Amino acid sequence: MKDKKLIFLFIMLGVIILSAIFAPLITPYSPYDIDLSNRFASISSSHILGTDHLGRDVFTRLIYGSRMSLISVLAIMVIILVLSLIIGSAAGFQGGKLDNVLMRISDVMLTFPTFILALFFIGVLGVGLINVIIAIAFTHLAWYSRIVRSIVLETKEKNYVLASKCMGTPKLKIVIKHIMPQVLSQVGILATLDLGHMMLHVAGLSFLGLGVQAPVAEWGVMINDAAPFIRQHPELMIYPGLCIFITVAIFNSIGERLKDRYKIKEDRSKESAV
Amino acid sequence: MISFIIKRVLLIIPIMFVVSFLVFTILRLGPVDPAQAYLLNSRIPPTEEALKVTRAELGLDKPFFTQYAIWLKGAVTLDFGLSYMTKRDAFGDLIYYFPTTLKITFLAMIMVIIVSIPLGILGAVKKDSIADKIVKLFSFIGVSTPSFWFGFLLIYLFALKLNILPPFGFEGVSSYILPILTLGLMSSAINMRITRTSFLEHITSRSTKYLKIQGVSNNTIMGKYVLKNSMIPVVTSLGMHFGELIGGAVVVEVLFALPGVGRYVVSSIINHDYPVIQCFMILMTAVFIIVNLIIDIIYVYLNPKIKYGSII
Repeated sequence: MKDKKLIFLFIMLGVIILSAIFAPLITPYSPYDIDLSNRFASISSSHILGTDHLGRDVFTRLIYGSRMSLISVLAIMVIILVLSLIIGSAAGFQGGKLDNVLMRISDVMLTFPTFILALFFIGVLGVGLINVIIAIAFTHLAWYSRIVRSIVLETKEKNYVLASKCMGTPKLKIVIKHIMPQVLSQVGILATLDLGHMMLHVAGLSFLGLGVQAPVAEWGVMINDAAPFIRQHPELMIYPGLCIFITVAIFNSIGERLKDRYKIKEDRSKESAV
Repeated sequence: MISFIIKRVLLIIPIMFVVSFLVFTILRLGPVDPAQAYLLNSRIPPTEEALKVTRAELGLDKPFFTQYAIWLKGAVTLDFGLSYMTKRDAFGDLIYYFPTTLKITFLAMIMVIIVSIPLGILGAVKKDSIADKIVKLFSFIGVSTPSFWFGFLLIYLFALKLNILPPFGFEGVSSYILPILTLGLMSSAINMRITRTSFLEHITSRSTKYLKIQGVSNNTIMGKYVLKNSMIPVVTSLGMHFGELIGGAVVVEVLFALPGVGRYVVSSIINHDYPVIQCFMILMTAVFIIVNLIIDIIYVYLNPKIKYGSII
C-alpha cells in the first residue's frame, strides 16, 4: 500500500508550505526593501538569485510569493467547500422546487467557461485579491454543489442515515455527521486536482492587473514586473514562472494519484444532473 | 434531425433572456455605484449634485424593472448603450475588436485538434512505449504551465533570441503563431489525455475483441469502430474547451498586444464600465450557445444511440 511517489510529493508540498510559513527565518531581507543602487545584481552569496529592477532580493520575493498563492487557493477551497455543502445538501435533501431552481441556476453557470465567469464577477465586485478569490470560488460553485448533491442523494438512502432519521435526528445533524465526512473525503480529492487549475487562474488574473497589485510579492505580479526587462534579464521572469509550474505540478500529481488510488469518479456532477 | 435543430434554435431565445436578466441583476447587486463609475470615467468629481444629474441622465433613478426593460428593449436591437469610458456604442466597440479574438480562438482550436487527437491516439496504440511516455510527459507539462508565462518564454526564444517571429503587435500572419501556441498549449494537453484514455478504453473493449474474433482486419477496427466511438468524449471536451480558449484569448491578446477584445474588456472591468461588461457577457453567451449547438449536432452524428430529444 505504500506509495513512495505520493509520500515524496507530500514532502515537496510540505517544504513549500513550511517555507511560506517560516519565510522570515529563511531569508534576512524583506520582499519590499528597495535598493536602487543594487539593481539587477547577479547571483552572489548575499543575493542567492540576484535582485530585480528595484534592487529587491528575488529569492526573498519568491519565498514570500508562495504565501499569496497558497493562501488564495486555500481560501477559495474553503469558500467552495462550505457553500457547496450548504447548497448541495439543501438541494439534495429538500428536493422539489428548491432543488429545481438551484439546479437550473447551476445549469446557466456551467454554460460559461470559468475564466469568463471570473472576469464577470470581478467586474461586479471590483479589482483586488479578495475579489479574485470570491470570483474564482463562485465560478466553481455550481460544479461542486452538483457533486455534493449527488453524494447527498446517494447517502440519504443508506440504511444508517434512514435509521438515524427514524430516531428523530434533525436534518442539520445528519448533514454534519453523515454527509459531511462523505463529501470531504470524496470532494477533497477532486479539489486537489482543481487547486493547480485555480492557482493558474489567480496568477493569470494578477497578470491582467485584476488581482494582486504591485508591489505585493506574488508570482504572477513578479512575471509582469519582469516583462519589460525580458531581453536583458529573462531569468527574472523564469524564476516565478517555474515556482508556479512546480507548485501546480505537485498539486496535479497528488490529485491524480489520490483519485486513482481511491477510485473517485470525476464526472459525478453529470450523472444525476438531469 | 431538422426538428431537433429547430427546437434547439428556438430554445436560444429563453436562454438569452434568462442570462440577460441574471447579468443585469448581478451587476446591480455589486458594491459599485454606476453613476459614480460613470463620473470617474468622465473625470468629473463625484459631488452629490453631479451624481444626481448623472443618475437621471442614465435612468438609474427609475425602478429596477423599468431600467431592465429599457435596457432589454435596446439590447434586442443591438443597442447596448454607450461605453462609460469611450462614450461610443459598446456593441460597436466590441464588434470592432471581436473578429481578431474569434480568429485566434478558432486557430488555437484547430491547433488543439491537430496536436491532441493524433498524439493521444499514438499514446494509446503504443501504450507504455517511449512515444507514449513522451506524450504523457507533454500533457503533464501542458496542464501545469501558466499560459502567459509560456507566452513570455516563446517571445524570448523565438522573437528575441532566434529573431524569426515578431514579438508583439500585429505584423501579418506570422504574428499569430506565438499567440496560438500559447493559447493552445493547455487545451492540447488536456485533450490529448482524454483522447488517449478514451481510445485505450475502446481498444480493450469487448466489442472490439468480438470484431477481432470475427476476423475483421485491424485497420478497419481502428478506423471505423474504435476511432468513431472514442471521439465522443473528445468532442464533448473540445466543446468545453472552446469557451476556455476564448477566456484564454483575453490573456493572450493582452500579452501579445493584439487588437482583440482582451485589453478593452480588461479595462472596462477595471473601470466598472457596465454597458461594455453587459454587452460582452451577452455576446459571449451567444457564441457559447452556437458552439454548443454545433457540438451537439456532431455528437448526435457520432452517437446515434442518443435520441435527439434527450439532450436538449
